[in-house]
Amino acid sequence: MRRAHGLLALASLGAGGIDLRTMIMAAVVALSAPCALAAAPFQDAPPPIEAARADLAAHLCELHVWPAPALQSVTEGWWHADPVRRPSMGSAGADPAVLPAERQLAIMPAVHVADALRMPLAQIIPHAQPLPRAAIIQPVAPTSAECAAELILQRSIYEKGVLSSGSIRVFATVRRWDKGRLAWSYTGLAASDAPGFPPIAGGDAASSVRSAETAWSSSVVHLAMQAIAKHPTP
Amino acid sequence: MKTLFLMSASASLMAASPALAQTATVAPVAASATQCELHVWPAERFQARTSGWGVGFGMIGAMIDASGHANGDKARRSNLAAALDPEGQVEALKSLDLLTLLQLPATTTVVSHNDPLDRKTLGKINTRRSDSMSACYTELMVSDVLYTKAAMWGRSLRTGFTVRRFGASADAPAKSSSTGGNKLKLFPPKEGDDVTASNQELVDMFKKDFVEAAGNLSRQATGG
Repeated sequence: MRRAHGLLALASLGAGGIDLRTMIMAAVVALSAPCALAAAPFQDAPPPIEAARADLAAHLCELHVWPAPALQSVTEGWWHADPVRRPSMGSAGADPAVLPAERQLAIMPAVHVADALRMPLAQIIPHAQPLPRAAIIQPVAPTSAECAAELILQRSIYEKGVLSSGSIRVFATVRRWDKGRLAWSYTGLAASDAPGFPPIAGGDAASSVRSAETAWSSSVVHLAMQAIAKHPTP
Repeated sequence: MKTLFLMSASASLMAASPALAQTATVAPVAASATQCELHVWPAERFQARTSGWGVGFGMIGAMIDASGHANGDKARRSNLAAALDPEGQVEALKSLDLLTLLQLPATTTVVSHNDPLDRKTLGKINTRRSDSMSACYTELMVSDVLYTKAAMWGRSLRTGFTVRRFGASADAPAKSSSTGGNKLKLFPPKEGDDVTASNQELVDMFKKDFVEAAGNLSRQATGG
């Protein structure tokens, strides 16, 4: 009953055009306020703050994100295929890593992958290192939370052919967990054009990397949408 | 005459003491077996080639055909690199009975390297590619991984392998190379599809390619 009231109240607030995440946070703050403790005399009922928190927690999911190793390049010339390696950035010495794990996690909040996975309220839990191969093959629930999802980025590839333009392709697995049980899993690839990457000799490397990051972000969202298209129900 | 004498002497010794004979035959095998090593390296490059009916119309037809498949081949090359990454190639090979397939001593130690060798140097460097001092040393290298689709023949995965048998020497190995090729049914996946099954098919065909090539590699090694 309390849950229904809460949802009704949230829905009516939502009609006013307020962002749902802001609304939930406001509800938590309001319920945590001292005035809410006025309900204390009702000894037999659970404390209202705890009950409200539990209700809200039920609506919040965890989204665990594992980054991929840094961007790799899979390109070819007229008569040969190039080896898989770091993209050539035209710099002196060894090519710097583009989109290393920490950078992927840094830009992840702006990617809106949770929205694409239809979990707009999910708490994003980043993991610092790429998930080892064995752990990708053998799924293990990342948490005991009632609702959880995983985005396991396995590879980020800059691809280009002699007769095709450059794009950034991501290879990733999305898993949805329901009370610790694997609800569904999707492994796929998605790509987006990366104009301006890699930089031409003497070009602006920073802006070129931004182009790669934009394409990467777009590919991640694209892949998440593909996963949801294959598994429309949570 | 001396040889004959030694042979007859050893024969009488073996007859007199079966336990001693057993020790004498087992010991050298055990000693050499502990020293045998097979080092495995994955491929570092991938190719995808799709050709349609356009190739039947000369150079211009082939160009139009190639440009028509350019984006698809670009995606398939990346998909190959993702499904058969170095670690995956080595894992796939190690899941096979490499020693039997390559006719190596059963107690050979398999040493895997996850960093591929530079493809351009495979045929040029004739010394050992690891620091091993093994007196019974062999190298297995995956040289190329190629996806092809032809209008007439369908889709297949072709994989090239090179085996270099050094024995105790540090250079001048006995080299043998071969390729294996097998048809694909699931790869490439459709845009947006789950790639789990088609990637597994690539791994399975990669292993099958090796089994096929290993027969040729062993025949080359034995001069058969």
